Order: sequence, then structure tokens, then C-alpha cells
Amino acid sequence: MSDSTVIRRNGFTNESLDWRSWLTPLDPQRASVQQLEVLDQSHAQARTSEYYLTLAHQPLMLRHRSEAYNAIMYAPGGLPRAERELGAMVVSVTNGCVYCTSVHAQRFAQLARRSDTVEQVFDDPASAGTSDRERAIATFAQAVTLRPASLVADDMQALRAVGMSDPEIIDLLHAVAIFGWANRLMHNLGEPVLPAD
Amino acid sequence: MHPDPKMNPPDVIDQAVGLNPGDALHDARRFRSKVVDASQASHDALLLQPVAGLSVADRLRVAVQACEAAAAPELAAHYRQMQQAHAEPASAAWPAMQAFALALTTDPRRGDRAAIGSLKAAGLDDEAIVALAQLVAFLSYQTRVVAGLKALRGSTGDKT
Repeated sequence: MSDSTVIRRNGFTNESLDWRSWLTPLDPQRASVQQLEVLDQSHAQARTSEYYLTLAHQPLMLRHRSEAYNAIMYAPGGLPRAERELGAMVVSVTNGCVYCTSVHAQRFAQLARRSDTVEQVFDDPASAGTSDRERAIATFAQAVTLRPASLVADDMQALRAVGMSDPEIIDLLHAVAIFGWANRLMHNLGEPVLPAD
Repeated sequence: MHPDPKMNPPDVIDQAVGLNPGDALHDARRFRSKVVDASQASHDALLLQPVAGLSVADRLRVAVQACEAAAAPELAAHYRQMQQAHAEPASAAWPAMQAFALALTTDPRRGDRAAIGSLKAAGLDDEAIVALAQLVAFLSYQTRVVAGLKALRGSTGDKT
């Protein structure tokens, strides 16, 4: 199937990776009730994830991060979820976060049922997209990531020109901005473990 | 949100963008009220939740410098105003925190294990390092949301 083909380009991959912390992850056996509650609320596999067990050193901060993240990426309505994942993938490539890129390349392919855009984003996020709408999303995601202080009305008009409503634009802005947050944690508190071959 | 408006802390993002109740964009943000609430709750926890070895004053220094580095003057002014209630001098670990915060704000591609080592060498434990990294990473989110909403407010979209 086209959406499960392995894609490796420019140091990025859509394979499932492991992640190793540069800090000492919390030992789940020694976690407080509050820490376990926040882990379970954050992600289904958080109790066995070095990433979430590292962030669980500050459970209240993790709780609110996860509330924001889950509402931005999973809430129904508004911008289609595949397009939120496209924004997340473009930001992750732009910020050089190999781990985040692998996860969101997979999510995009699952939701969109195709991987052609994934190859394009790995090659060059600035020109990626199989439609005018995808290209506008990729361009906007890079602009928010690389030149947030110089965003102007024209950047928003480019999204409206491909049919996006203001609530959809706000959803895309949230998805792109929260990967400025997620990438900085994933790429600076530890490292991806790549497949052996 | 609390039913009594006085019990609701002001939303920092609205203030930085210049949005008031009744503005189209203020109300459009509330379509995602969970995001609005979690963004403000993150701000409050990251800046004010007690963390051993990471003072509120040093976190506000980090916030002001990160917002200045990101060219986000409204948010920098917000954190400068918060500094008035937290004026303690910088800790001995401040130079290491400052270097880490500025590098992470401006150059997230680096992914530098040595940067974590320098925080440990300055005396920060894992709990303090997670809090500092979460704060800097959050500021990258917050400055981008504000920058995007400012551009959206300045454009001529549907006002419904």
C-alpha cells in the first residue's frame, strides 16, 4: 500500500522510531498518583515512553501541555485532521526534528490515505504540496516557523484564497505553533533511535 | 472558565494581540475554548508553579529575553510587567539558563546534548531542566500564536 511504503530522504524517515532521553526519565514504579494520572491523560502509551516519563518530572506543566496538544490536534470540526498533520510535519522537518517528523508523516498518511505529499515535504517543505491548498498550508507552516514576527495580512489572504475560513486558519495556526513547542522538547531533551539497517 | 469574570485571570494572548470580548477574532478563538484555557493554564504553571532551583524571577528573565529574541514586543512587555512582583536577583545558574534559552528559541535545529550538560554543570537537576525547557518551548508557541493572530486581525476576512 502506498501509505505504508518506507520513505527515507534527507535524514528523515516515516518509519516508527524509538526515542532516548538525555535526562533520567521518571521510574513509573515510583510515580505519584498525580504523575500517573497526567501520563494516562497525555498519551495511551505514556507510562512506557521515555519522552512522557521525562516530561512527567513536572506533572502540572505536562498536564496543560497535553490538554493544549490534544485539543489542537484531535478536536473534531474545523480544519481537517490530515491538514493539521501536514502542518505538523512541515514544521518538524523545518526544525530538524526527525522523531516528530516520523510520527506525523505516519499520521498524515493514515488520515489522507496517501504518502505522495510526505515525499515532497522530506525533499523540500518550501515547495511541497500536491494541490494549491496543500502548498498554501506548507508555505504558511514554514513562514510561522521561520519568520513569525513578519507575518502579515497577505500570509492570511493566501490561505483564504485556497478556501480556508477564519476558524480553519486559527486551527492551522495552533497546529503549526504547537509544533514549535513539541519539536523543541523532543529534539532538545533527547534523541531518536534509528532502525539498525 | 469561571462564571464570575473577576475569578478569570486575563488571557495573556488576547492582551498581546489587542483583542476584547465582542471582537470577531476574540470570539473565533473561543470556538477552541479548550486551547484558550490550556494555553493560559500553561502560562500560569510554567511561570508561577514553584520549582526547586528555578526561581520565578529567573523564569521571567528567560521569558523577557526569549520574547525579545523572537521580536514579540507585546509579550516581552507582559513579562516585564510581571517582573515587578518578582525582582529577586539572578541566580548563579543564570548565565547557563540564558544561553540555553536563547539557543533553543532561535536555533531549535541544534538538538544539543552538551547544552543539557551545561545546565547540569550549573546545578540544575532534571526537574528544573524539564521546567526550563517546557517554558522556552511554550514561549515559541505563544509568540507564534500571537504573531499569527495579529496578522489575522489586520487582514480583511469574514467578520461573522
